[in-house]
Amino acid sequence: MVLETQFPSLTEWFKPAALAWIIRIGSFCLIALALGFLITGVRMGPKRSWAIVKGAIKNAFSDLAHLSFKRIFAVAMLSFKEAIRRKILIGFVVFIIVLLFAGMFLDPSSQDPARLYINFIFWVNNVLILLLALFISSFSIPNDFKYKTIYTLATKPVRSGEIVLGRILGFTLMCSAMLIVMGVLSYGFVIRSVAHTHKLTSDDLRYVATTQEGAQALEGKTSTVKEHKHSVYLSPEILKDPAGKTVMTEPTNGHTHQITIVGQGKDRQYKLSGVKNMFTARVPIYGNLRFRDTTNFDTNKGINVGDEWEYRSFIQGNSPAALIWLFKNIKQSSFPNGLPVEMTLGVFRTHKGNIERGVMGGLAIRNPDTGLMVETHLFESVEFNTKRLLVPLKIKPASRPQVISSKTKLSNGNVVHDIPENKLNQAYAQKAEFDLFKDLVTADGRVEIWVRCLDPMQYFGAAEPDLYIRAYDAPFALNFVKGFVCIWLEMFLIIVYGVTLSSLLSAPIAILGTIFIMITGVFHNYVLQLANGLTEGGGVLESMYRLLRQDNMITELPDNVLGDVISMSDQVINYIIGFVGYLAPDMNQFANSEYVASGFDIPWNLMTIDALTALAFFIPLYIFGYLCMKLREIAA
Amino acid sequence: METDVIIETRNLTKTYRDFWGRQKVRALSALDLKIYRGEIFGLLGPNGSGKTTTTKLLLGLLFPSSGEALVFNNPADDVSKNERIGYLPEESYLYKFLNAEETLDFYGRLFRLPTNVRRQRVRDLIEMVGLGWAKRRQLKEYSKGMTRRIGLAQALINDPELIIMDEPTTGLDPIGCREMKDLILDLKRQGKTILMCSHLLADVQDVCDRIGILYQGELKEMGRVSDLLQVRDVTDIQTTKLPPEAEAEIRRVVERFGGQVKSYGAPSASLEELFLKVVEEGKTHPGKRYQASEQATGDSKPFEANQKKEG
Ligand SMILES: Nc1ncnc2c1ncn2[C@@H]1O[C@H](COP(=O)(O)OP(=O)(O)O)[C@@H](O)[C@H]1O
Ligand SMILES: [Mg+2]
Repeated sequence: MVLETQFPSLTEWFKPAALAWIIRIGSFCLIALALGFLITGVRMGPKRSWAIVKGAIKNAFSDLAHLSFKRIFAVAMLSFKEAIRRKILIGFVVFIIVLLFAGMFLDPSSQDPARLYINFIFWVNNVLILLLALFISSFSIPNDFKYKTIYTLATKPVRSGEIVLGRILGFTLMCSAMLIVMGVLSYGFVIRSVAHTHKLTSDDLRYVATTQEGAQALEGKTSTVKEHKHSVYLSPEILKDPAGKTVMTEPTNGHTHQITIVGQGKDRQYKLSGVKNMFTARVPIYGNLRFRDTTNFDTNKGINVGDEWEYRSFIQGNSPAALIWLFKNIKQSSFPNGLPVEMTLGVFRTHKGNIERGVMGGLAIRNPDTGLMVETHLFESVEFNTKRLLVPLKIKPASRPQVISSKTKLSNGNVVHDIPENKLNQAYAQKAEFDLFKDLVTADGRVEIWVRCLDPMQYFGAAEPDLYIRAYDAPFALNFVKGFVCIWLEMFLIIVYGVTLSSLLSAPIAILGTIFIMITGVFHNYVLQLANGLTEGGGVLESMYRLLRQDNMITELPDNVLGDVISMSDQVINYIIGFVGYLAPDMNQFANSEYVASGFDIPWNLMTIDALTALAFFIPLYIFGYLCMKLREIAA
Repeated sequence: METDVIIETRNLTKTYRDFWGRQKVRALSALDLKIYRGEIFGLLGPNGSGKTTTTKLLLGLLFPSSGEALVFNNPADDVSKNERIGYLPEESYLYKFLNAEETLDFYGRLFRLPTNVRRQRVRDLIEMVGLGWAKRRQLKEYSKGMTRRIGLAQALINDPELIIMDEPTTGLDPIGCREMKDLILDLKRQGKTILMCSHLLADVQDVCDRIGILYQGELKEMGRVSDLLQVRDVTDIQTTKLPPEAEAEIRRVVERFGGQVKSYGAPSASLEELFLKVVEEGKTHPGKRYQASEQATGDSKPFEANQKKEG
């Protein structure tokens, strides 16, 4: 899965979303009223049913004004008790235990155990809680009708709106309690599953020479636990006075351990800590990626190295071609130690080269206002290995600094420069040491990072999120909670759909309906494409026609009445699909466990948008459920 | 006075239709009815005559096909009327997973009763319907009669002005029936208005002020029970037990006034009265009342045996 990096900011998102929301409220109300009118109309004629619908609209406002939290809460507690007394939960608890037991068979010695365990845990929790939510929410109101308990309920001064809201609240409380318990268990499970430490004795280490004259370092490997070991390197500085010092082991399988050295001389011992740095919640700052081609022009895309669906775009080695990320709002106060840059590049080799060694690359920083570019690092890159580099505050250039402009060719053939050629001042480059924030970051915090491939005939590839500045690390536990909050939001939406649909439909139909809407939500983008006629092979009937005739996808429809009928019906079907698509939220935006699994903080921006989306669907659906319930002839 | 009309129906009609709108049953046709404050109105009729349909229409559980139903001068679909209504449905439609206390507490909350009032009322009602011993048991363990009792308590949780009861005595044993009837009379004394449906003539006769008789959805008869039941060409005399020789003389006297004696002899008690008496005695004199030996020896019927003992 590819992590989304470009979200609309809250303000950008809000206006179209608010508009869509108002339309959605209107649509849900109209559907409910129309359904109510139709159903009562069939039973007692249009005149009578019109009066009923009119009455419902008139009453809606007084009902809203009379909403009583006390009654809502009473219904909520009833729902809560019902779920518990009917012992629905026991089944689920058993299921959890079984699944966690299954989790024992996950391989803790895998390359990336954190990802493995977190993905597993989130998957289990997601499936479980969504199933639970779906089933308990869809049965309650239909059961009220089936066992006629609704007769007693509806003859009390409780409003339809309060029944619907109370049910939603009750099930939400119950599932939340469930999710909290499951979350705590899961967190413990993940942490415990990967927990281990290694042993390191003096026998594991041997002296090695260093570049420093006469100085020796210690090198070695820890004992093997969970099928891996860590390399250890004790530098001459440490060895000068080792007692009480701490060092980190080299990372293996995505984690390290801290070594504390105790004792002197022959009594020297090494104590290794538990797992460190395995669970992170990096908060990245992403830039905008552009490419510079071999002729020094900027483009939006690099070279395609063969795979048509390649997500990364490539640049050629040993040429002016570069991957360029422009960052904004980089402030010195947030980066007192320099810019921590992390990148995961795609490496494409046209020849093996030295297979022992990675492909060489260079990382440079450029000031987009002055054009000064300073190379800070030369590095070896292995495909999909995450490289961490710190661009220090005081930079000694790794190669000769330059002052250059960036140029683009417009579609009409004109060339534009970001800095006019005659404004380039080569004097900026005349320094032995550069200050990161004074020389290379503009006053408003813009800075460019350029990555080049230095080996001829080799290629580097990247997509926008492949390089980022690691602003800081958020607490992992918080990120785990955020991941669960996203599951919670999904669960909440399912409860809302389940309860509202079941206020009109029987339980099995409500369950099917909710599943249908959720699936529509998962394929949200595809559904919208289908609705807008953007899919390959045309509309539903058109492709069905081709399938039946075994034509291929680009055969024209027959140029006769049949063809016209097919394309016209497809238009209508597209409208309907579009409408249904509109009534379902984009469920993908809630599936954020990948962030947690790959060690990235779930952006607050995304969390807020998700929460608002859930709320935005809840309100119209609630009104829908209320109206359905209100227009329903209870004892019919 | 107009405000004293608690229930009013005008031309109230209900036709049940199936899903496709095809007419199935005309359950109620053009019912005009007024029920006044403080009276007990009995809706009488055989099974399927439209009694339950009428109550559901009054409660807003059904939408009328035509005509209208007013309760407290408000249309029946107005939820706020429910504040002042208690409803005892045909069967108790209650949540089986709650116990008696929780059930009453839940419905009490729906009326937003203050906590202390609610607690007190839950206690009193459980006491009143005699379920104190089973108040912590889930309703799914209740017998039919117990469920009925808790259903009644539920209907009274809001101290309603109007109580609508659908077959209040079904599922109750004769003592329960008696208690129910006593309770209904008691509620009347408190000034409540009661509408009860029943097909049991005795129930209605014992407690109702006015009755309406429904047959196949149509109101056939309505009026005060005393007026309706007064048999104008018969005179009824009851005296203490007389010697046999009195009979001839009494007949003579009756004939002298142009009358005719239709029956003469000891009145037979109703089975209900007998049953109540037996149980009442059982409370004061525990142990077996009916002697098995007597049954074994005598070929007399059990009830005669009882009569003998009384005598
Ligand atoms: N939900 C329903 N759908 C169709 N017919 C019904 C429904 N409820 C009652 N009926 C019919 O309406 C008539 C009146 O029923 P009801 O009011 O329950 O009678 P009662 O309470 O006097 O026994 C009966 O013929 C019954 O079959
Ligand atoms: Mg009935």
